[in-house]
Amino acid sequence: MDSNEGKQANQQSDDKGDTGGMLQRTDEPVDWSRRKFLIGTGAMAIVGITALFGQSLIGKTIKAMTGVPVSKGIQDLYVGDYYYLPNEMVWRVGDEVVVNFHNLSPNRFHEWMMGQGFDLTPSDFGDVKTQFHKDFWDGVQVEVLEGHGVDNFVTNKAIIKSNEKYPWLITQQGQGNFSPTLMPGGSIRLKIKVPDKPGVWQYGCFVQGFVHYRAGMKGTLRIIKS
Amino acid sequence: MSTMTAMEPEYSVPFVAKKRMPPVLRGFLWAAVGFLVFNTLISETVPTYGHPFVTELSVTIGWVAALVGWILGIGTWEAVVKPAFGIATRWAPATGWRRYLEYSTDHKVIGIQYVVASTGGFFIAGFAAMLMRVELMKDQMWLFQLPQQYLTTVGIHGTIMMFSVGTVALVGGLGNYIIPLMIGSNTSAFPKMSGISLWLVPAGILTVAFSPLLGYWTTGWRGYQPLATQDASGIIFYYLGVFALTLSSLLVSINLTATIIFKRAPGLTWNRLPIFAWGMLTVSLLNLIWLPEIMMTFILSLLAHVAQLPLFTAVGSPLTYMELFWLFGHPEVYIVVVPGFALWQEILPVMSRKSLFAEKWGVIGLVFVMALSGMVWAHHMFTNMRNDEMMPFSFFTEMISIPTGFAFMVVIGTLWKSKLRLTTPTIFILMSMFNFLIGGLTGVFLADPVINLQEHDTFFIVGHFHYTIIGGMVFSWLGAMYYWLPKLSGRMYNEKLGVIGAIWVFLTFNITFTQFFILGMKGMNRWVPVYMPYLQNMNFEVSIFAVLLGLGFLYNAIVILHAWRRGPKAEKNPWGGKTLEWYSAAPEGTVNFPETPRVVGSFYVYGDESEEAVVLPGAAISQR
Ligand code: HEM
Ligand SMILES: [Cu+2]
Ligand SMILES: [Cu+2]
Repeated sequence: MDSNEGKQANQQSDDKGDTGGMLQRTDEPVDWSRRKFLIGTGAMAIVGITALFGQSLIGKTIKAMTGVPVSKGIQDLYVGDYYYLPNEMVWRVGDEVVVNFHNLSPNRFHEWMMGQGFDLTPSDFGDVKTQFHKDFWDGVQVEVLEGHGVDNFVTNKAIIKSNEKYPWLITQQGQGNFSPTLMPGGSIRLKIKVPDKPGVWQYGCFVQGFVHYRAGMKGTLRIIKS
Repeated sequence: MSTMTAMEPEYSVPFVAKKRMPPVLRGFLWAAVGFLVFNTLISETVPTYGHPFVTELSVTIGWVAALVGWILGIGTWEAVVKPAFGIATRWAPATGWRRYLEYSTDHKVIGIQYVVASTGGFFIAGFAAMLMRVELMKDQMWLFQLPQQYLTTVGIHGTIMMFSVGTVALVGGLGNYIIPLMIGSNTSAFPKMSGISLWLVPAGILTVAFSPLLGYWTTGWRGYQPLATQDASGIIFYYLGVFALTLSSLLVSINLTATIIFKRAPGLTWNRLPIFAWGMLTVSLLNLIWLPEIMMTFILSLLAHVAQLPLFTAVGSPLTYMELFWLFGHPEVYIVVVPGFALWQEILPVMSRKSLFAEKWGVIGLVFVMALSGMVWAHHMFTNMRNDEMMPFSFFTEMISIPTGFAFMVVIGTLWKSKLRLTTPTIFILMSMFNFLIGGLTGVFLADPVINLQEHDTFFIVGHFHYTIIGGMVFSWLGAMYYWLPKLSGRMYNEKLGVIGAIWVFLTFNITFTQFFILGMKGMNRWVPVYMPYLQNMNFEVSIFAVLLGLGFLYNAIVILHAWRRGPKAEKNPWGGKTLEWYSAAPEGTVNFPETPRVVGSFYVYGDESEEAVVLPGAAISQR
């Protein structure tokens, strides 16, 4: 059993070998600065924790202080899993706005509805919000400029104008809120004149059994008087 | 390791010390640079619609670059990479507390670094547990706004606990520190690799902890597919973080296995190998078998997300992933708890001053647990199988209680009619045995399909595994920290404060987690932030005890830390242990054994005229 004799001799030479090669150790103290270390890691910890938990609290405070600018001209509206970017917009009545609605998700469909109040469907786990009760787009003139990878476009009571006959204009009035639904990577560009409907409107995506809305795909649009 | 200085003299040019940047900061800086460069490269060259700066692919590759930058920045650039290419560098390892915050090849420094990293992970994941329990105080969403936020918190808690505490704390921490000492060696087998592997742990913990920045994920610590493919991008940081953590454990295991096989002092035959070393060897082999399997599974899942390969969606079924996961997932619980068993059998003979009863059966038990571990995985999937498939898995699962029972028998036989010293480590180990017994008994219930089908995915399960993991592993970890504190720090803790700490966590732990069983039987499901109102009173009260338990862990950490720095000087061998580590008084940075020790007897024979097990050439130093 006792076959370990002699191992120790190897071991000693191993010990020297492990720092061998060109590396030379020194015993001179080149210790680094304790102050720099504490300040540096402390600052990074603060930045990290703010990034992690600040999204809601601090982010909101800063936004409330600086406010959201009124947009006219081109407004980019990106969707990802599961968010809108931006999730707050301000438009002024009478302005012309071109909305670039892009789906950045690599593998999921997303839509864009806008309105006030909710239509509820009862379920065992309480009411489920299925869509908005009042459709923002009622009677609004919408010009479709361009579209790629549009899966479904419910026009509802909007007044649609488009130069070409678009194949995705498939779902007409009475089939739910106005909503373009985009395939992964899809986009649509809409031009509107902001209607005289001042107030606070919500937007959201109710795809996949309303999972997306619950997961945070929502935003607020404020319409201000001209 | 001052043997190194012997090779120094050839160098004669005076060396002007240059102020270094603190390695941790440099690591972060290089990581940031690595991330920015590679992320930009990928997101600019691989077309993605809408040209976002951070895409799933770019963040993955950027993360790998950041990891490399971090490892280089922490000191391996001068100490490993440059010398490997034949470029002469000078590397001055820091001294004092600084040496714990940079790359090191000293197994004792690495051991402490692992303990500290695991403890950090423990408290970060513990904080997540507190958030969960606060949310569960009410039967509605209130702390979290979205269910996904709760689920992500559950996932972060479970992932960091399992992969940076359960798997790593005892093996990477105490294993690295104690094993070379215990087998009479001056280094571990692969000190450089060991020095690198440590730094994967903080990287992994931070990656998982910051996963919400990329989006919420809902799979818990198991990363279930195809659910994960439905998740937002945060799941990518789950896969990457777990990859770093499991890689670290794998490297630790390679190192420990080689160390135990090749570095034993003369006379230390397999028959005489200390029981803790057996435990570490068993766990290392478990790791070597199962970690590569789960790492491949996670890499496939990552590809399913990033490269959109249809690995778990278009072909196969959700079961494909579950089989792969639990094939590792069950052995994982032994990876967590076998070191705990080894600690029971290591510490109690010393504390009871009695020979280890049926030592060989203890070792056989450990080895059989290892061998059976891979044959039971499907007991996690009883709800997904036909009745006639349940039988073998139920059978094998209950079989494992036999070798597990050996560990209990060995310890009870040792304690029998002994004069047990009820010190803090002893108390912690006894508590660990008690708690693990409850975890084990409820495990036997769960192995029974009839009960399993009732309790599946309820808080009964959550109670069961916390009893095994906290009960079996965390309690013996705490016991071991108190036991080896005089060895690690040269100082002694305050016995009264230690006993208070033990009683505190024992009571709050049991009050908290027995109620998990009851909640589960009353119908409380896992992974739900909102539950039926009749469960609210109990949940409210459980949350309060859970917070008290969290504070108890904090208290013990403070007691240990305080003793470490301010405690009274300890005797060299306060418990009168016979194993080799007590023969070396070397603090970090010095040689363990200036002269090779020689083992001449068993470490576990006590009695009036028991002989020393170790002979040190030259001086006949007594262990006391
Ligand atoms: C103060 C101590 C702790 C408390 C109060 C606590 C609490 C919880 C709770 C409430 C859950 C279940 C959440 C749910 O399913 O809805 C959970 C899950 C879990 N805990 Fe703990 N825990 C503690 C410590 C630990 C420790 C020390 C470990 C392991 C080392 C651990 C490992 C896990 C794991 C693996 C899960 C499963 C996560 C998942 O389902 O993905 N916990 N914990
Ligand atoms: Cu959506
Ligand atoms: Cu299992």
